[in-house]
Amino acid sequence: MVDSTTGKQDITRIGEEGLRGRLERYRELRITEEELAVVLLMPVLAFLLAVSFYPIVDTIWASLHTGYVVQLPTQTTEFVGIENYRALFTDGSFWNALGVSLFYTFVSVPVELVFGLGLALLLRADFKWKYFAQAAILFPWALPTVINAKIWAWLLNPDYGVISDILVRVGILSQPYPFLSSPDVALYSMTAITIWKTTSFMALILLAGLSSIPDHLYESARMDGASRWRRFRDITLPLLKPTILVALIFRTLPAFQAFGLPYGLTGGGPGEATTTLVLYTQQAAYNNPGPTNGGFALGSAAATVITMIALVIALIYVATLYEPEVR
Amino acid sequence: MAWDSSAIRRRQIIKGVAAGGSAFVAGCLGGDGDDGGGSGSGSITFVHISSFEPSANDFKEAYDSQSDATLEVQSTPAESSSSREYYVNQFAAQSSEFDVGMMDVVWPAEFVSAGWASEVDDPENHTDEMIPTSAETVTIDGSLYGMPMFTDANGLYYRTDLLEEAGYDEPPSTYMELVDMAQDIMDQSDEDLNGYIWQGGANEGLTIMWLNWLWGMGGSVQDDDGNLVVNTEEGVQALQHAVDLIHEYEITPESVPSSGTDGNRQTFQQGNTIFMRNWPYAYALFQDDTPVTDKFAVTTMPKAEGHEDANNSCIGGWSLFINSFSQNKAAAQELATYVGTAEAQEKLAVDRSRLPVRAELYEDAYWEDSDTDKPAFLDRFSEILDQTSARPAISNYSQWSNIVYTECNNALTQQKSVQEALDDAQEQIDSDVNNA
Amino acid sequence: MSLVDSAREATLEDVALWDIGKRFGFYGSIAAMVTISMFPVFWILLSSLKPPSELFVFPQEFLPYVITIQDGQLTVVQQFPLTLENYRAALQERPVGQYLINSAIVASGTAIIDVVLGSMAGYALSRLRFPYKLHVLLLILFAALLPFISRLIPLYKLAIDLQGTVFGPFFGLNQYLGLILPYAAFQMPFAVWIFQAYFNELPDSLEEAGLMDGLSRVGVLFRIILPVSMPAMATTAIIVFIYAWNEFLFALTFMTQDSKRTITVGIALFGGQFNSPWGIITAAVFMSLVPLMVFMLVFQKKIVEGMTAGVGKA
Repeated sequence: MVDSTTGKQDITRIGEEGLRGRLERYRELRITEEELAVVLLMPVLAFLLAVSFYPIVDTIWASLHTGYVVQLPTQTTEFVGIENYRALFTDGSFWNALGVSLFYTFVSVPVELVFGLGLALLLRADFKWKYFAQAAILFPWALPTVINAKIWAWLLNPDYGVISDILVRVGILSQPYPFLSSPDVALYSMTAITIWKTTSFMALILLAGLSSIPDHLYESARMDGASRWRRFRDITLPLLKPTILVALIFRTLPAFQAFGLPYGLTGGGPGEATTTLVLYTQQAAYNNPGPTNGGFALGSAAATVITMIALVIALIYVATLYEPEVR
Repeated sequence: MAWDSSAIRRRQIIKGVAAGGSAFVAGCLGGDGDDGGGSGSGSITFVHISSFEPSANDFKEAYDSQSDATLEVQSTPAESSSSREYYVNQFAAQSSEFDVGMMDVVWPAEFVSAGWASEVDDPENHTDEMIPTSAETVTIDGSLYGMPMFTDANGLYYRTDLLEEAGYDEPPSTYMELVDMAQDIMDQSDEDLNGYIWQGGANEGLTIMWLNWLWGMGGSVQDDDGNLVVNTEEGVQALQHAVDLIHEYEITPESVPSSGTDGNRQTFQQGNTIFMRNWPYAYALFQDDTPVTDKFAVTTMPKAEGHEDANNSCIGGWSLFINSFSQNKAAAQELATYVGTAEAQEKLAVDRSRLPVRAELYEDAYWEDSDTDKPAFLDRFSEILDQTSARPAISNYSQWSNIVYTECNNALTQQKSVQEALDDAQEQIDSDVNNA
Repeated sequence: MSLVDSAREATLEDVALWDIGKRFGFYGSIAAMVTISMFPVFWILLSSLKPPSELFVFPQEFLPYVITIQDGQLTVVQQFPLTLENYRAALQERPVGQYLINSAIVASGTAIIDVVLGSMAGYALSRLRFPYKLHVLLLILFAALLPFISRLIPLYKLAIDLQGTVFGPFFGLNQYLGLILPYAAFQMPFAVWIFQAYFNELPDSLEEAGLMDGLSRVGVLFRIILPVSMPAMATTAIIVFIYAWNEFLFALTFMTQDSKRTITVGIALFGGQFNSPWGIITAAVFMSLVPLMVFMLVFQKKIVEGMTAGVGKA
């Protein structure tokens, strides 16, 4: 990469100038880098402030109070400190949901990574009908989550599900199996569905990374007699590392906040076997929403905790990922 | 007014920001002053579950011709639970987007204690004419908070042909009779039959199933102090019976712990099921050319031995409520009064196959003066309606039910023993519901 | 580059048999992936064409017709009658066409906002020098962390509060912008990330040349950078479009009038309190998938290219 510290100072470091000079400069559309950065970033930041940060602050505020989100006309908001968090951390269902979400996330994401890498390696080649194949393979990723959950509930129907049908035909099962009735199998099924849906997205990102690896590296490795496996291990993997990290961040955060799939597929059951953290949050809030019942206060505390965990995950990724450009 | 000052302050700040920014926005975008045409005094909005749409349109026709105001109708999703979430969002925002809504039979206590449903007047005394349980579900501390529209009660569906073949003239009337009969028919048959299917999935349906069995044993979930107790002797027996149906008597398939109401209906409709617990809507669907048409009947729920008089059918149904935040309650009240009339009730029964709440419609005498014939299903369900009990009328019913069906489901899938599941449920209920 | 001449795999390439085996394995894997990916859609289509009595049977019928050899003759046996009844019922029950149009408007609007604002911010974060750059990037990323459902009520309250003010038409109920703005905000961190990664990859000489030629910074942005950032714009637009097309919770709450509902919400309105008419639901689901399938077919090349350019070396 070209060193970018050269050749730019003349216009950007104008320095001490009066108001008049500044206006003069603006009229000619000559502005400094910093000014341009402010102009370009302001719309996004203002927008996020109104639509994204306001809810975050509102949620944190709600988690420290009772009677905030939902109110009787005669009721006052009461500050309760960490009371809602205490209630949250003493709720067995919360810890169960944390376990479910961690399993769901940290099983599905690595499996997607492995499958996605295989798929990306396949899709690197040119072949007939590639565009059809690519569109077909990417399609599950484009499916709306609620509709996806509906479709799979239908495919896994305990009595008429086609998945059972196929497994019976192949001889693996002797009769239809109720996949969503047994706690373990329900969680595995849900995880498998998400792997089915998002592997292609993972492959897409990895494919991008693969094509940025210069061909000449492989050629010289082959000249040196490196085996296929060695080329993969010594060239592909290390050079793909940054892309893998991007893929991980874009998959881990949504998986950790999964809601639509368990909501539509199992409603969190059987028992609480598929209740993810966000589904737990939603249920805590809506099962008990009354102004004196505090469901939303508990839900807000849960949402804040989820945000914090996600923040930790994101910070770990960014710390590994972000390489500030030297400019 | 006693509005919380901080809430008002928050709103004012927001409005202030909005006003301050308005010049900017108007300048940039040319400003468009249309605020979406706020509802004038002459129009109210009725929100209904999507399957009620035909009736809502009937209401609109009648309302618009009788009142000075006009009625707009809007639908929420098909399922009761997502409709409730929709309402909660509206209430949380103190929204006057709608004026009248549909209220499931288990919501009134919550909606009233939260201050979301306002009191409903009954100037024409319709509720006096109604099935008592239906009117009771919307009466809280002596005041009326909803106008019942239609009711529901579950019954036992069974296959008349299969029972006859095996030599039974009567459906079972007790729990063990049902088990014996199902086992006998399953043994005799060459086909792969389901004995008894019911709603075992982790949702409201399972809470109702458990209550059915519990009530049939003479049990109750509310103790003398009004606390909810689930791990009573009857509670444990009821759940144990459910577990035994699957794992001991083997008349209930293992898929039932993930099955819901309509899944059961579809399974029964295929023709390989002897008994099913379900709601009246299935009766109507089985009338059109299905494998079970003319081969099934509905009867009252079986009961435990020695409790023949138990009222163990669960009452369902919907009423109409007025949003507390509505700005046109007078016009809303007109609609509430209308849905209680015999005219509206007859239309619901005849044209839309709903079970009316006015008791007179179940009498033959009423129909002698009417232009139409008495719908046949009214007779089928009048006996079942005489044996109904209501789910606990508590403000945090949803939470209670969530605990109950989650833990019952744990027992059905043998994650926990019955006693363990109900003890765990009780622990949560004591801390979250009884002490709340 | 074709599969066979791919210069990277050499060792056994001149052995023809191995070559055939490899081809076979390759196309076999692709076919398997396509089948696995599209099977549910095939099944939905098939279910939607079956009469209701054929839906709830076990085992299920996979093909409407099978060809068998009977007495030495080929005969076509019909397994079940195909029907369009479910489509007729679905279209009659709900304005599916209107739902699709609403979804298209909302999704396109969201894509436009994210492309415009995201590219601006991405450019600043990638190619301009200013203090606190990492902090700003983290701040933007942080906006993505609050669980989606927790934003619903605060924003819904905001929308109600803004009704009747000048902001009403922009962020109100039953306004397309009422969905577009939140969606755009939720996907903004992603958009910004794609753009800044993309701009990181552009050679610095691009701008330097422009500045030397006497263009202003603004001029460089519009005349030089924007024209070459089409791939990143395409990727962002497509990913954001699909996200907005698919969202359910906000669409359900913010659009109360039937004429403004999006297709994902529209599907949830099929069915009764107890019964789910699977035939009609599968027909509605299939109709909702057709535009997505066309979209994927038309744009898949762009998605892959844009992605390649965007996160290639992040």
